[in-house]
Amino acid sequence: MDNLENLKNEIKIPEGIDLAIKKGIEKGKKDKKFKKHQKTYTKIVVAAAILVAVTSIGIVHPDIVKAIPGIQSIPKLIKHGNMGENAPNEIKIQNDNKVYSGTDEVNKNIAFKLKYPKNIDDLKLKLTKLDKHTYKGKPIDVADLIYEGDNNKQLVIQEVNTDEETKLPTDSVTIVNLEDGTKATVIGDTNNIKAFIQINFHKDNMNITVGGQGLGEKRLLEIANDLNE
Amino acid sequence: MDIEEQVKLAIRGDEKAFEYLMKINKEVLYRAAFAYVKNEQDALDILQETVYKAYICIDKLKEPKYFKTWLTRILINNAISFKNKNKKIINLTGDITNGLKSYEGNTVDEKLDIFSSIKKLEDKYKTVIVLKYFQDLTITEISEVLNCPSGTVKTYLNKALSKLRISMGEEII
Repeated sequence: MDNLENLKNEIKIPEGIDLAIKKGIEKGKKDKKFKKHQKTYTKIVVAAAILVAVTSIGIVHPDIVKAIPGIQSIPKLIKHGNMGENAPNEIKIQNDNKVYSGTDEVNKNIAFKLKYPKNIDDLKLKLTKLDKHTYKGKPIDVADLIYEGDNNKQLVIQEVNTDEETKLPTDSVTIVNLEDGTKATVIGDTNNIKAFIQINFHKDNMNITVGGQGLGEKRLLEIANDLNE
Repeated sequence: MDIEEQVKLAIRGDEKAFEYLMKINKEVLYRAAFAYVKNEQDALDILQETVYKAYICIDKLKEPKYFKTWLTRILINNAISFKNKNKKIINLTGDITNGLKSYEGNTVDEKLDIFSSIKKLEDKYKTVIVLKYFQDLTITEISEVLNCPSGTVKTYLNKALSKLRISMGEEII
């Protein structure tokens, strides 16, 4: 037993032992550095691969990408900015004498298909509720429409291209039920201002007439039958 | 400074603390490696690999008080891997007397016998002998390194010594 215990002391410690330890530490340092870089590199590659994959799928199948949580909001922001999203059923234009109904949510756009009477082109009417009484609309490429509710009774026609606004005086804007109650007309005082808009409600459709000196030729727009869609 | 403090520093990435820990353990580690491979150069290789692996993994050591156990386990694993890797290589030039001091009590032949006998032992017996007589670990520490009960370590140790006695003769051991 003594032999075994003494044997340990018989092993002489070589001079190279310090060098071996130094080399081991240096190798460790190098390896650690390499692994650190490798981790960063791997993260970058994985992130790039995911980005490429999502972009590629997004181009081919945009609906799939929209379904990914978090990503859905990106196209929304691009499309609508901070003004909200299309919500055609939030506010409806009815066939009766009511002009608007629905929620009081602000910053909601509603879109309706319009077309010229001669079916030249399909157009979109976008009405945005800015606040409780104010709706901003883009009925045609000629003008934007802002209708402030019953309290103010003010109609603003805004040129799309120039952003110029024409405000109709309060007393010159009326909403009236005509004949069988299925028509409404909003008329500006054409003597004092240079624009007017006329909206006629029928059982199945609505006619909008925008006219006046500032708006060029008189146009008649017809909302398609699918108003309540 | 307390060794445990140094270990804590090394775990946090203090290179000087790590170097200090290697410095105070180098001789024990080398002797254990030598007992396995009976060759100075191979023992140094094992030592270097042990230092390298310890450096890479020290941040994973949870309990500083088990540093010695942890380091020894790395060394044992390295030595066994090294031995298995070199099983098929026959060393024609190696001379183990290079790694031994002159010792009055025993002749070089006797020392060679002991090393050869240790070498012939099964790994589990060899490891216990190396840890006990070359690393100076207690039975409890050996059981921690090998992750087995103290009773098992004692059994291995007795069996290992018996085999060595048979192998070398009662008069030497």
